[in-house]
Amino acid sequence: MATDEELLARSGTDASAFEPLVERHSRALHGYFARRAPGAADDLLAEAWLRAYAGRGTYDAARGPVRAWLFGVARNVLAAHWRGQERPAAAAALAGEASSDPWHAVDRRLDAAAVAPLMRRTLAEPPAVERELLLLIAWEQLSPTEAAAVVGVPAGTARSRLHRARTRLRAALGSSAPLSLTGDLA
Amino acid sequence: MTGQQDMNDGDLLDFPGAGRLRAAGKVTPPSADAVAAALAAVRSAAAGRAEGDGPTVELELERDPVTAVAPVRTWRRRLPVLVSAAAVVAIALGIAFQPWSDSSDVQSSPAAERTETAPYWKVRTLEWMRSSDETQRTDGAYKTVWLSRSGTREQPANGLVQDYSREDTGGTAYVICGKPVLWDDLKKLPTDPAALRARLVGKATGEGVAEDLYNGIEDLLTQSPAEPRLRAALFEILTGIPGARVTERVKDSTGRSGTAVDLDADTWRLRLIIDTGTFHVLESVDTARNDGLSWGKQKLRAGDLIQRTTYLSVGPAWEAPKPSKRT
Repeated sequence: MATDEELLARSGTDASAFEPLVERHSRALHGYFARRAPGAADDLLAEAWLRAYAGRGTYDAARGPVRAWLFGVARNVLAAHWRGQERPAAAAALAGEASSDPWHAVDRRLDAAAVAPLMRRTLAEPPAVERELLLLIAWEQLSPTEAAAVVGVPAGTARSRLHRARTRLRAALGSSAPLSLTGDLA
Repeated sequence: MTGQQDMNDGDLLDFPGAGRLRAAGKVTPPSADAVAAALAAVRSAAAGRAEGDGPTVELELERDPVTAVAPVRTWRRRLPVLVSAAAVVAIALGIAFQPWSDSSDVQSSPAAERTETAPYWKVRTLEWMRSSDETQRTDGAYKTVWLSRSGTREQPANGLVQDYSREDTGGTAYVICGKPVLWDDLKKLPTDPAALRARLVGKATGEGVAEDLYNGIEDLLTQSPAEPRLRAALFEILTGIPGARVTERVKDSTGRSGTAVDLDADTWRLRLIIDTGTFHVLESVDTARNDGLSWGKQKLRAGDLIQRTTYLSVGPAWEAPKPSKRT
C-alpha cells in the first residue's frame, strides 16, 4: 500500500492519487473539527480537503508526515471559520482570547463530558498555544513535534510549553480534594 | 535528541483527570455522506484543474496585518534601555552573538563579512530538562537550530537533521497572546515599547496575559533575528510586565553575567538572564516556585531546577544542513 507521502507526491500529476488520502484521514480531520466546531464539521471537512488539494504542491515529504501537514491545513480552516462567526467583540475581550480561538467550543465539550470544573478552569488559564498543543496530543494523538508543526511554533518552544502545561495541571489537580473532582484521579 | 528531552504522550498526559480529558475528545465518526461530499469536492477541484483553471492555489496566510495600534496605558519603566552601538553594528554586519567566546563549542559564523539579510538564524543551545522518572542524567544536550522564514531545522545531539517547515501556513510564527508574528513581520514591528506592546498584546486580557507576553518575548529574543532596537524594546516591555522582577549582575550556569527578569507563573518561576548590551538571552531557567511540586515520584523544593536552556551562540547564517533522510 502506498504511503501518504507517495500518494501526495503522485497526486501532482495524477489527481486520483489524492483520493485515498481523503478516505484515510477524513475520520481524524472530522474529529478535529467536531471537537472544536460542532455543527460545522461536515462543511469544514470538505473545505479542508479542498485547501489541502489546492496546496498539495507546497508539501515536502522531508518536512514531516502528511498527517501533521493535514492538521495544519485543518487548523487554518478552523481559524477562518471562527473568525467568520463574528463573535461580539465584548465577548471575545471578556474571554481574553483571539476570536479564532475555539476554546469556548472546547470548553462546552468538556463541560458536557463532565470534565471537572477545576480542570476546565486550569486549561483555560494557560496561554492558548499551550492548550492547543496539549489538546492536539490528547485528542488528535499527535506527537509533540507534530503538534508543534501544526501550530507553527519551533519544536523546542513546544516542548517547554507542554512541560509547563502539564506541570500546571498536575499541580492544580493533584493538590485538590478528590471529592471536588469529577475526573479520575491518578 | 536524548531520552531526557524526548516527550511522549505518557510523559505529558499523566496528570489527574487526563483519562477524562481524553474521553471528552471522543466523537462519532463522520457519516459516509460527509466523506463522500469531501471526496466529491476534491474530484470537482481536480476536474477543474485538469481543464486548465490555472496554477495550484497557494493557501492564504492566517495572520493579522502588522500595524501600529492605539496606545494603551503606559507600563512602568524599571531600567533604562539603550541600544548598544556595538550590537547595532554587529547585527548589521551579520556577526553571530558569541558570548561564550572561550568555549570550543562556539562556532565561527561565515556571515561576518556580509551585510545583506541572511536566510537563517542559527541558535546553538545546551538544554537540560528534569526527567519525570528516576533516570535523571546530570548533563544536558546540545542542539543547533536554524530558523528561517519557512520554518525550523533542528540538529540535536544525535546528528540527524529534522525540518519542520510550514510553507503552507506562512512559515515560522511566534505566537504571542494568541496571535502570530511571522518572520517577515519582524522588520515591521514598532520599536517604540508602548506601540510594540500594544501590537503584541492586542485585545488580550486576563491573568494569563503577563505569562503569555513573557513567553512570547522569550521566543522573539531567543529564536528570532529581531534587530537590536526591537530587542531593546522587547526587553523594556519584559521588565515592565506586572509581577516581573529585575535583578542585575546575575550569573548564568556558565558564569556569564547578565540581568535576570523573573516571573512567577503558577507553580513555576521563570527566569531569563539577558545580556543588556545586545539584548540577547544568555539563559532561560525554570524552577519550582514552592516546596512540594510533584514531578513524577519526586517532590521538588522551591528553587529546584525544572529546565534550563543555555544559549551558546546565536546569529545569522547563510547555510543550513539538509534534512536527514527519513527512515
